[in-house]
Amino acid sequence: MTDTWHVPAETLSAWVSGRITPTTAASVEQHLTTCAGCRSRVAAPAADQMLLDFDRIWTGIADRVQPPSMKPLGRLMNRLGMSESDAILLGAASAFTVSWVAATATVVALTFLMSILAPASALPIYLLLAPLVPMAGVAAAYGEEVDPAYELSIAAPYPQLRLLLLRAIAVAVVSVPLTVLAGVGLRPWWVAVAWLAPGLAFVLLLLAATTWWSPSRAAGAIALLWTVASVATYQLDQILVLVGPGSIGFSVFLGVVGAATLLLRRDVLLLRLRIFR
Amino acid sequence: MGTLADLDDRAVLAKVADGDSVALRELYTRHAPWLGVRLRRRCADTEIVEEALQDAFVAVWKGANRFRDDGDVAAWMWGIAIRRLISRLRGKPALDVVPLQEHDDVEVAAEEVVLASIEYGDLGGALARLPPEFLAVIEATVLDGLTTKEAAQLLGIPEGTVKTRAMRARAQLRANLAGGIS
Repeated sequence: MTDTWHVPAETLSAWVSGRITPTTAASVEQHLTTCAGCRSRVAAPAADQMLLDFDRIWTGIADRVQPPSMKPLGRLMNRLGMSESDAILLGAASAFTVSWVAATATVVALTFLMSILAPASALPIYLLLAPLVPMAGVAAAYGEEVDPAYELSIAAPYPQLRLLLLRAIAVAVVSVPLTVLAGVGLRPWWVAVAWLAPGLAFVLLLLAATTWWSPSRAAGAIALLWTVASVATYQLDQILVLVGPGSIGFSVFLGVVGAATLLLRRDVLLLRLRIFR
Repeated sequence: MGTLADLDDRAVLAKVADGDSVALRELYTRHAPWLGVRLRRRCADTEIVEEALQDAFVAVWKGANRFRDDGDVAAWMWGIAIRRLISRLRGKPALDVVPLQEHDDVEVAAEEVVLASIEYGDLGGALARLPPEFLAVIEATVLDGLTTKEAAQLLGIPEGTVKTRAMRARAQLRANLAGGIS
């Protein structure tokens, strides 16, 4: 049947333009389903009548099948069990991670080197920087300057808070092990993990503070306060107090305050993040 | 690219399944026009049709490995495209709902009547004499191969109405074929 009969050109053109009886249209459509030759002849009248913008549609498809996503971080998280769509959104956000991971790695490597060469001066520097690393990463992930996926994250029917927390987790996955590794040469040994308490508190505080300020400003404020605290305790030769058993409770308290604020003001946060973009 | 054009749809689809975006472009060149026009005939809103077409090719990109070897690529893609259109339409009211005319004189049809079983008579003429809202239901269920639920979503009418109209359409088709002009 399909070998002997093909849709006449004027019928095909009429089908494209819609000026055709429903019965003939149905017949044309059934034939098109089985005949590659007639299918290929649709393109010309469709283009002539400018029914649809096929170039623009293709651009949209190309963007969606090749998102700016195939980044190492997204792949890593995907391999660790995160769903593909989550990983893609993360991947899109992780363009920032190239420069940020490089910066983190440099800091970490320097600290590690110092912990071997000059353990005494390595400790205060490590304690000053380590808790700030994850927070800086999270701030960079939401910074108003760099985010190739920002239109995606606005347009996507995706819970913004979830995306936000996913990104924070992704940052933690990369930065926490690196930073812990950097501290293994330090004395006392527990310093390499003790900074995690203030580090986590800072991330939560940052997210909470972002409901009022831009991410970079919030990060700057937290970094400043921590630097003041670090320098002050260092001057008093008491820098270990910052991460010692006595201050873990304070870190937890800060973290809880941050989390509660974030939860209460999440609508504000989402709104602000949209404005920043 | 030169060799790609020589491949048949299944071979191109196999390349798409391997993540070849050039092959996807080839598939788009071959199928987007007729799929687009056909979708456009189901929905007057150009924007929705364009979105549905995009969705369809993205779905093909992701689901190319789910294509069964014994099927026909064009029919498979149409099945994807029309369902993408339906999900784009879901929740949106139908643009213009044709009010159902009264057809009190139509008797209840037997369930098993299908178009394919009709061996004689002017089927085209019989179809053409169907009221447009009946034809739309026949088109969606028989020709487009949609379920009652999908047809209801495409046409923006309740499922029960689809069933009623399909039943009445069959009865009228049979009457048209048996008696010429009804």
